[in-house]
Amino acid sequence: MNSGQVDKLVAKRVGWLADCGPDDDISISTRIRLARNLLDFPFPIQADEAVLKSVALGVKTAVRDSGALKSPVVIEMEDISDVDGGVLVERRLISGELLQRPVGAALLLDGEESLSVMVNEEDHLRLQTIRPGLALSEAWNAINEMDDRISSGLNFAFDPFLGFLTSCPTNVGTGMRASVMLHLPALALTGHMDTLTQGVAKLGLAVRGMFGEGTGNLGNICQISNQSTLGESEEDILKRLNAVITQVVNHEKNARSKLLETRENFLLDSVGRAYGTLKYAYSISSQEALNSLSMLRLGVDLGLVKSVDIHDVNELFILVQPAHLQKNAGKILSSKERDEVRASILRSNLRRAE
Amino acid sequence: MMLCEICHKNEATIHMQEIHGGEKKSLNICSECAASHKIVGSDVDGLNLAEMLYDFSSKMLASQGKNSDDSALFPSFPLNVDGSLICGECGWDMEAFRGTGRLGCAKCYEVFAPLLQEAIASMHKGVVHVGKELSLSKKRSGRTSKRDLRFEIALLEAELEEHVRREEYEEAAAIRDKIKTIQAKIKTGRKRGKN
Ligand SMILES: [Zn+2]
Ligand SMILES: [Zn+2]
Repeated sequence: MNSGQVDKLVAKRVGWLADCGPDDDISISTRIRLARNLLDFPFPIQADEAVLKSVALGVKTAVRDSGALKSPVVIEMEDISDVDGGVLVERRLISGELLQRPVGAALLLDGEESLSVMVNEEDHLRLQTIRPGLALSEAWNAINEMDDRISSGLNFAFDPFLGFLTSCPTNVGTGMRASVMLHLPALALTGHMDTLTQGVAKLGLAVRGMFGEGTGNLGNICQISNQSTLGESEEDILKRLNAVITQVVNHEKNARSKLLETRENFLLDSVGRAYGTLKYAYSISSQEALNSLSMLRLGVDLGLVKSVDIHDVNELFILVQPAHLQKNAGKILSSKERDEVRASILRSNLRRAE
Repeated sequence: MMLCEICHKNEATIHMQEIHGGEKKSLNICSECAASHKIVGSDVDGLNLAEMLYDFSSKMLASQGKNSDDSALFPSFPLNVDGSLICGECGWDMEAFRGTGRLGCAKCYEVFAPLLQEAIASMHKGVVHVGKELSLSKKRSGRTSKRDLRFEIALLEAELEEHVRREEYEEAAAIRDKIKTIQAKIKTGRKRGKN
């Protein structure tokens, strides 16, 4: 049953990549998470199995009754395989931490993969919305409404001075973590990523790689998110984040036009080589695939590569990751086998796309 | 160059990692912040994030001497057998807090408030929540927001004025006491992070 749910997901395009969002050539997607806890139960870190199970039951019932999720799907972490869990992580629907807490841990998801609730992760509830492009206010409206609906059926831990109480004090207050995923190949090519990271950190925002901490700028994709959750309203946090993202997007645009103007051959060469590698390789590592896809995506954005659709490239960023590779192959693959299957998927998808 | 995650000013020269529930967490800080958090040279590797963010050593001592000068700072919560803080609601203790940097339940925010204050101030833009409040329907559960408390004070002040105008001084005094209690509630709430 549960495994079937993940099968259905894999058969579909990734919701937050499927539609064009505003400015989506550079801002890939927007995600907002809200941490919420039930007043009458210890946080998951201090809860025993019985508590975790009753929290899960209570949350699932309240979410269902609230009607906050359209045709909701429930996926219990206890019931799914490692590969299926990995697929959910790669589609950014759950965190790795949720997989580490199998008892009472679940994902509640709407039919469009745009609204979801993680149950019994670090906090009892982590509400999430993820949508294409830069869409902070749209995302906030959606998750705020979901929060209102769900909170009417549950007793949330809320303190007048500290706001929503969370297991980790870094999330206390609004409990809100908003992040925008950006593709910044021109800033990377021109060696501006470090300056950017520093500048953004100075403004109290965090910069992270797409694939988690310590992965650097793999695929030239990074996420910018708010650090502080207390002492500022949600709207103010989002305004600040939006202003910074808008600036970063402009820097990337400028870097792109400058590259086109002054180093066109270098650009054509980088894009062309990447495209060639993706189309003709018989074995390719995850790192090389992501970096080449980044160059190809830049080429498509700039109109240098006309034969490929941007959505196919976007989708490949997800499909070449380990769990998706193994899910589609229908078996566990060694690292060497993964490199071969990855190359084969890239070859066939890019030829089909042409 | 990577910026220090505590002061966001200096270059981070000390990089720490911690495996947490299977997830790797890292903290990158400058030597100044490391020093101010009582971390020196080779000791860094063995320490965790919680240790960095909360100044345990001095506060632990303070909690043990709680019957002397610190009784105001440390309200009368039950203590662990060794005299350190423990949450009477969920059993989360100093050691668990130290090891994870996380709290065990909502009540823990009161119990560990003395340790949390500074850390929360350094993590966030402010120390008081100004964002979304729980929706009105939730207020019936007996929990009151600071907004409610201020509203209550405003109502009582109007009432007080009325009694004073009518020279009903006994009633006025009673209401003044009520207002004082609520104001104290707001104040301690701000100080200890809970009303
Ligand atoms: Zn510092
Ligand atoms: Zn507790």
